[in-house]
Amino acid sequence: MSNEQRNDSPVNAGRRRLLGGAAALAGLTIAPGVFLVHASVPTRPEGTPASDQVRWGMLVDTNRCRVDCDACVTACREENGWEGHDRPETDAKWIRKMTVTERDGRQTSLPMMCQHCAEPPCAYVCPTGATFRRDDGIVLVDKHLCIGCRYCMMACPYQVRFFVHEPVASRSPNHPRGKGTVEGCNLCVHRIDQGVLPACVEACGERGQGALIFGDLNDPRSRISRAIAEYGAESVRADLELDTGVRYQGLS
Amino acid sequence: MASRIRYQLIGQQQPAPFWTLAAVAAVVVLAGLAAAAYMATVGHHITGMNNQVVWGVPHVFAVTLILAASGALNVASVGSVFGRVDHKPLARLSGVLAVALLIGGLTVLVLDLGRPDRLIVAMTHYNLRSIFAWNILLYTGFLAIVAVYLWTLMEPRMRVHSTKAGTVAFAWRIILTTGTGSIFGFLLAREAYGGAIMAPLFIAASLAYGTAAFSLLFLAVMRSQGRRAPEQLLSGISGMMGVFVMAVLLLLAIHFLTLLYTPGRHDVVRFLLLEGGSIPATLWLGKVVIGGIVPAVLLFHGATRRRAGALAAASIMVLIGGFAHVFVMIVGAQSYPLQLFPGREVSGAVFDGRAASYTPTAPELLLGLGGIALVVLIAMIALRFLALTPKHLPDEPVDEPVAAEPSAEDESGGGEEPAPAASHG
Amino acid sequence: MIKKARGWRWITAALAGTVAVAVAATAMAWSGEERERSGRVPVPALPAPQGEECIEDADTMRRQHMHILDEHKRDSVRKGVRRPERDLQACVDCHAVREPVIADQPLTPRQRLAFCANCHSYSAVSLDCFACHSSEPGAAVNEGNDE
Repeated sequence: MSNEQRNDSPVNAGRRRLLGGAAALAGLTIAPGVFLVHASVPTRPEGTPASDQVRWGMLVDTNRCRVDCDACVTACREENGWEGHDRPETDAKWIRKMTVTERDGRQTSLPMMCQHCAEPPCAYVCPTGATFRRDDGIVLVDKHLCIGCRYCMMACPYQVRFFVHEPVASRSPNHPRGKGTVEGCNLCVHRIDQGVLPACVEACGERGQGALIFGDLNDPRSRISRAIAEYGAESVRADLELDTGVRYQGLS
Repeated sequence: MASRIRYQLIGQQQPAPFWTLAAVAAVVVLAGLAAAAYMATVGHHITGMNNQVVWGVPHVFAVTLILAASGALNVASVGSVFGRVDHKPLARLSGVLAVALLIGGLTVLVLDLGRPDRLIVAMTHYNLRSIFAWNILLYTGFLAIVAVYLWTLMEPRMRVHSTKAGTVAFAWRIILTTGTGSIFGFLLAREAYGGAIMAPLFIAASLAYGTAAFSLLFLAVMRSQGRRAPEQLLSGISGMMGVFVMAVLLLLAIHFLTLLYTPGRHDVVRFLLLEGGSIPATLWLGKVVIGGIVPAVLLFHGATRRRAGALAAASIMVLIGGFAHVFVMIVGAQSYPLQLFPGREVSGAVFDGRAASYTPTAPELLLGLGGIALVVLIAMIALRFLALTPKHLPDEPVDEPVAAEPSAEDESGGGEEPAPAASHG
Repeated sequence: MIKKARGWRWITAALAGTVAVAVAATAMAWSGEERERSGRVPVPALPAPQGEECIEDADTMRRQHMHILDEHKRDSVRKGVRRPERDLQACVDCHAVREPVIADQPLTPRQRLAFCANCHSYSAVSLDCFACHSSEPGAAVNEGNDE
């Protein structure tokens, strides 16, 4: 990655100022790894836009992830309110557990969600610009503009976007949902903006295997960058060269 | 050009059968609208479409109609741009049908949107990186250009500009179909699409399906008046359509051969051509046999290429083949599972690694049929109020064939005479 | 010529009809009785808000709230500019009705947001925010308990 020159920019330094109340509280509730949590999710002053100095990313250590654990899925569903209608073909699954079986029978378990590509095919094809990549690398759907054409779902190689097929009965205040629009993992943007870890990462640390690391890919001192530098990581369908924000360890 | 062509209104002399047919079309249109309203109210889960097959039958109808729209202008282009004088009297009909087909296709497309009420957003917010957004401009531009073209064809003082307008329309529709093909060609995630070849494939397809749609309308008008089209003209249209039908088959074969040459894509070819259940059946029977080989024989064979009945049969088959082709292109391509981990076995909550199932339901089929009915309705209203069809074509067999073949053609609908006020010099 | 004359007759008839309908409608709208009642729709009653004051004075909010929301929507969704006091959730938190209208029955979204709904139906402007946004007051899962 080409982040060396961004390393000691004033913006970056400013971001690492004393953390706001929100992050402090989150830090208290997450007993293990308090220090690391704070180092990974610097807050941004209220009223300032997301900065392209930051590239939010997630690292999945598939060596830790277990087939029988779905703490991340449950946490995401509760946080964002996408429980379905028991219709697997049309229900949303912002995050799902996948099992990959090698030819030799070895199995790998991993969560699959929006990969937050730097070159997102979904955003390229969206006719109205409803799907877009925020400056800090999060791929979002601006549902005020989504007309429900589903072209983005045709374009996404990961099958992680979902069309709301039915009227929504109850919804989370964290995430507006409406019939006829497309949705997907937003990296818990409402939490990130308050300096709190995404719900799946938090849950994986508390109730799961600690297989998820969240942080700034542009900051070489962040935990995620150090883990990638030390052990390496790869994108799913790296051949498509989409420069994903979600990376995996232990795939090959 | 050389001889004066007099144009007529259709449906004036015998209004009852004309308006009955129009009423039937209107009822189907209303049924389609009702289906769309139902889908918009309760949500798309009542359709066969789902999160795996996100585009279904409505898109098959919409894309086929849009392709045919561009191709329906063929006869006009051949007359105006390529100087085939015997085709020129049919240019008006050709242009009007192109507009009707495009409106029908776009209506289906728009009514299938998750938020059709937000159509205005699609008109006010453009992501110019999206080929879809480009298509919105291409479609509206096509309507405007064909409208101007029709004006130059129908207004005597504008007639001097008809070649220019026809040339612009010709160029525009090639670009338009390139855009439509690129909707699929630019999707790197779906292995069934092959990038650049989608544009020429869709251009050839549009020329074939559009000519077929035009032939059906033209032959229906002739038949309703008990007239017979000149053999020379029938032969010309047959030959043109036959070449396009063969071009589609050729490009399709090249497309699959290209995929076969890419080792990682053998599986998708096997799925589409052999193992994908209804998909290979639709492709081989619907597209290749019914929509390709049989009509090609009818269109090229010396015994049938000059016959109206054979042309009508071939046109129907080509259109069936068109729907089959687009069905395989849209639904088949999505049925093949996305390869997140190529070469490895996967399982997951969104049917990972498994071929997606898709069974269309009544509402979406009704919506699609409503689109076709809308095309028919628009065309009929245009025929009734605009002087689109020539009263007599150059070289049209007039008196002696009727006398020579007493019951060859249905004479019951032959009473429709041109209205004097509608004739143009 | 005959055709033309017939055309004019139709146009004249259509124009006359339109004028007649317009005159009748205006007359009905301005008949004394109607004017005194200031319209057939009762002036909306608005539930009292929870908080002390809004982000702007009432007059500004009444005229500009849609523009304020629209601007904030664009800033927050697309640029990530967070101003919690301008969130739609902040409006809901302050303005939503809490007490049940009928004892022991949960409030419908419309009853809960009578503040928005009453005025919107009075002015015949459709209100579709809550087709997607939550109409539930109270803290968002990670908001409110921060301070």
